Amino acid sequence: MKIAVVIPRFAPGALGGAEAHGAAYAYQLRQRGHDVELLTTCARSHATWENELPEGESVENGLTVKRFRVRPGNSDRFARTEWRIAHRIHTTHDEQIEWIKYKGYSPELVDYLRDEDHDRVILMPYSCATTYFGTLAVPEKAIVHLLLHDEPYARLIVTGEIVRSARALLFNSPPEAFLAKRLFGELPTHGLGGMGFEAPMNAADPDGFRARHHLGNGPMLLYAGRWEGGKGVPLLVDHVVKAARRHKDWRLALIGGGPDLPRAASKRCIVPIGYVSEKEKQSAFTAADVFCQPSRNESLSIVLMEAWLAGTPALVNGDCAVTRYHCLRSGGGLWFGSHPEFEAAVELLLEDPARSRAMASGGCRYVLDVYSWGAVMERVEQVLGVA
Amino acid sequence: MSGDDSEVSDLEYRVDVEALMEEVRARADRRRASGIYDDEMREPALVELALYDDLAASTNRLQAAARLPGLVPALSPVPPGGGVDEEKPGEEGSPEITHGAIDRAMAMARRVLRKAIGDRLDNFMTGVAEFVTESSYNSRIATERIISLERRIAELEEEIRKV
Repeated sequence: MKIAVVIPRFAPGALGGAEAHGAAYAYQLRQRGHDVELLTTCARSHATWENELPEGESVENGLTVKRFRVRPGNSDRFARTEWRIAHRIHTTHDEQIEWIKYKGYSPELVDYLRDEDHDRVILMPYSCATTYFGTLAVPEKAIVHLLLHDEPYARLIVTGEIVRSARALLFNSPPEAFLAKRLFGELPTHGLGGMGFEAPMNAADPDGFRARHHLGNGPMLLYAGRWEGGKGVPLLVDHVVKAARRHKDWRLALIGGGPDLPRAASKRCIVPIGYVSEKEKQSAFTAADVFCQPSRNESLSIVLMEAWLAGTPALVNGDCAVTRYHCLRSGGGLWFGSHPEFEAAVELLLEDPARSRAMASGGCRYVLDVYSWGAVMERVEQVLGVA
Repeated sequence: MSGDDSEVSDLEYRVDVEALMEEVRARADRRRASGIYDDEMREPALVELALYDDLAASTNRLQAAARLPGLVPALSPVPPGGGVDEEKPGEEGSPEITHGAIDRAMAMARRVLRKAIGDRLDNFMTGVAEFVTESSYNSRIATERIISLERRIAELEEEIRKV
């Protein structure tokens, strides 16, 4: 099949999750023998959308990449409309069109899609101009991987237009599909995509990780990702600080970085480590007794999958339908809805190491069964072929 | 949908996490009933968040936010006859003269603005602070009463069950 994968930016080293996902699809489909090209814009930053990368065609790691210039939008009007959308204040269709145009609109890319003879066009994520205008340009070929969250952007008129125009949809998990059904009603043909995972190759050094970061031999909880309120980090820190009054040997290690590390993180039970190498991250996952995912808004949770592959059970936020679903299906973790539940769940995970290893093992089997690249691509090709 | 429950390979390896969650909830309920979280409910949210439950957590956050540390009026009122910020004049013909003139004009404009709306803004901010403080106190009272009622209902239900 001749396939175009359309993502709003492709700047290796500065990719968002959605763009990395799209690029991974392009590479995987090419490896499976399809004729694939990656279409994107010249923008590097999703804040400014300035054309920083050269226009035109290049070959990157064997993949044909075509970049098109972004037509600049009005940043002031965008910011005003963005604020109104985020605060769920009504916006008109015209306002939403202008808003989404600011996020990577390239008329030349749209024209290229119309003129080329692709069999299928995969577009992601939902809240950007390349997906909106691309889907409306070639609806009969458009396979949209929404990467949907329960957020104000999901409730826009323009999002509904994408869903109703697309030939088919892809989702990261069944809860994401349920959310789409709840928001948009009857859906076109759809299937489960996802990110692919393989068993980790790096040899982990859990003892060395604990020693290097002075974590001792006591119970260790781990968080990996952005340190921000939207990811639930202040919530997690507060839970652990509270619990540490009764469990003085508990430690929460934080890897990653970001703007929202609360003051309570100065407590002895909190160990902010910062960004680490891939190998050190692998060691962290293996060293942890419990991996914590406090975020309410995930469409897949790559780090949760990585924790299970490393043999660590998980504790997730019960308000996140996606991660709770993963735990329920795999038996790989528990969830919490309040502080008493958080504390009780961690105790339960710590008091029976054999059971926790069995849980992590279940999570690992689940990841490799459902989210190996082979399994993901088989399902994606089914949607590409059947749709 | 391809890849949903019916297509995942058999899950005989799966630990029964629903049963474990029953145990989690039972432990949490026993601890709540024992009152070990009561003191934590009263602590300022910004220092340590007492997540007894959503209602208490929300009330704590509201109370902490009501403290509005460092709140000062956005514009300081200028006393009667208060002068404009004076810039040291530069030598004639130098760039400092142009900068000095602009600065004096800006200072004059700021003084006019302060006199026009400074007092009103001060009053507004003070009113906001009072409202927020009172709202959070009101929420605290309501929360404590609700939780107390919930406990009493639980006790009564237990007594009824024994009858």
